[in-house]
Amino acid sequence: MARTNTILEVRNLSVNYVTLEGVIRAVRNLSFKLYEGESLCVVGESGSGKSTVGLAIIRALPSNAVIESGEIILEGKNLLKLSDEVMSREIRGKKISMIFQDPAATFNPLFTIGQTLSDVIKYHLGIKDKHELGKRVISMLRTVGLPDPERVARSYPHELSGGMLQRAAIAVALSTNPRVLIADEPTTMLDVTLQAQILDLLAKLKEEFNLSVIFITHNLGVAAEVCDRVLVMYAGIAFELGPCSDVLLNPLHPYTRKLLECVPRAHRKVEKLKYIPGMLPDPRNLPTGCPFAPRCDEAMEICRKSLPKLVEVKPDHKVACHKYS
Amino acid sequence: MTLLEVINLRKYFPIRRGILGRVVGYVKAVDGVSFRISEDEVFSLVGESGSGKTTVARCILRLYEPTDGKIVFEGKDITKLKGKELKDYRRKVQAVFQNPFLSLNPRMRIVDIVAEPLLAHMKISRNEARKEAIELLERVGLSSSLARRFPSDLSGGQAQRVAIARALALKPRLIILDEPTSALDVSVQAQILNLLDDLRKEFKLSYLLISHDLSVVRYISDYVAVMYLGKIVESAPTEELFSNPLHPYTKALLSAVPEPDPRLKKLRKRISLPGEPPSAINPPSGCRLHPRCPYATERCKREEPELKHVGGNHYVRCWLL
Repeated sequence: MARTNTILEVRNLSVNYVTLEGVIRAVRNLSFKLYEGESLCVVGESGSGKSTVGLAIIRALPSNAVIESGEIILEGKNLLKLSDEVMSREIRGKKISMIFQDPAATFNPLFTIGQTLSDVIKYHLGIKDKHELGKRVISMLRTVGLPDPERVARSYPHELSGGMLQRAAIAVALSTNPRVLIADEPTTMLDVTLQAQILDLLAKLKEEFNLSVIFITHNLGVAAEVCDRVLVMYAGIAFELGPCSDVLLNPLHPYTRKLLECVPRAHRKVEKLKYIPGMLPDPRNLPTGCPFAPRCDEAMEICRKSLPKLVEVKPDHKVACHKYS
Repeated sequence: MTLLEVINLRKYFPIRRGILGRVVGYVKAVDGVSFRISEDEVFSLVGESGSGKTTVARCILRLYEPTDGKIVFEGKDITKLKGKELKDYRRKVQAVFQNPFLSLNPRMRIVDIVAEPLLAHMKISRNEARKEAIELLERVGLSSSLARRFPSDLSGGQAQRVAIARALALKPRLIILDEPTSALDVSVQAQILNLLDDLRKEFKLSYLLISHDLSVVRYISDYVAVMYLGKIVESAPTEELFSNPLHPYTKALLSAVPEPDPRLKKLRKRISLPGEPPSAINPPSGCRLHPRCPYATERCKREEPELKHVGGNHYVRCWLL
């Protein structure tokens, strides 16, 4: 992929959640760039902080979240410094849109798909003419491949199936011609044949709308399917970042390698699955040093003492592991 | 030796309308399903939501009364069992469900959850039952220090281990695994799949695995049946099914599974099915897949194909063969 411009940059982002049982350090010192026209996958298991990254970018974190440090730069502006008013009028839903695992999250159940879609277009694009709005609504619903868009526009969210509702949510997200789309597990609730349809649709629309995409998923197969680059996260930390095929074929971090070994495959016979002993660390009580050290068979003295930095080991391929420093 | 045979099983759910609750139609969740599970076999039913796979499992567990058909276990039709015979059957067939936090009583201690079936079926004291429960917990990889804890203290993987220990407690012949790893992270899923595989050999168990995840199915099963809208459309020994799928639905399903290895991705040809599965209230005429099938002919719209034997232990329900 040609190295083009950076469209979005996350610098040293740290996010905590304050709970009654203690502070959860969801994201720690995360930095990455999103290049124009690429799709970057954020991959991780539960508690890796991958969804927090998405919500932090559009500043839609729950109220108990605290952004400890960091900058999120879009077109030279630090989004974390913008007022709420500017954020909601000019950024969220306008320049950066997001779709979710549960497409119903996009919609208010009391409004029809058409009402929601036309409200978004009216608010962000300032189109007031009813006839023009209606035309845009129908054309967006058609763009995402919904059959009978007139009927869909009149439907309430509960009247659509999961696959159709996710298409409608994509229509809402793209109706404002955003620069960046954040897709948080958009196919996790869908059956595989529908998942394939939605992934194909997103790939097509990415070209059509000239989008840069951050795709958040736990499924390495989905990552291989849709992404140019992969960012592997574990317990809030970026472990590995590099070109998709490079990371998946020649993983450098022990966690990435082991994670790939424990995925059962439908397209190849596996005699005995390997597994990672132990479990994910308690987010309220993270070990000092590398959070993977207790489960890592290559862990050294230093791994238990200090957190490794993300460093470039091969061209464009970064890894955070003491093995390489 | 056949352990369980399902013969022409049907389960229709009535749709009731109005204040009199008049029956206006039926959801044909399972519509004529037959299969056989041998001793020491892992048999998988795969399909997408609405295919009826869980309904089949629930009929076998006697959680649903079948509308029609027989379920023969160790030579006896279990659909009519009562009293002591039914209790005996329940001891031999156990289940593990998708979400362990919904299937474990949140107000019971782990050790008592596993001891409960022993107390219900065996004439033993509570202390003896607890001792056995602790042994079972250790066998599934849980330290005995967790025994006095409650389910909410456990992670998803640990809770699923408790559910497995409970299912093992009565030394069953068959365990029905309904999406046992769908709620787990991949690194934990691999642990549970390997545990299930080891236990099967050690306890001489058969499994009926219900799953939508073809990669899990390929890893753990001996024989696979694919369901679509209440019917089995193809069934074959696992490696045969995955290397030589014949039904268009099986091909589409398999080709839709994303593959993490970028090298295999290029070799794969995607067969896509347009649209979504239709409703099981008024399933399409003829072959149920015909409105979505890229190869459908006139005949597929009119006549329903039978499950045809195509060699080995491979059966396909399609006019094209």
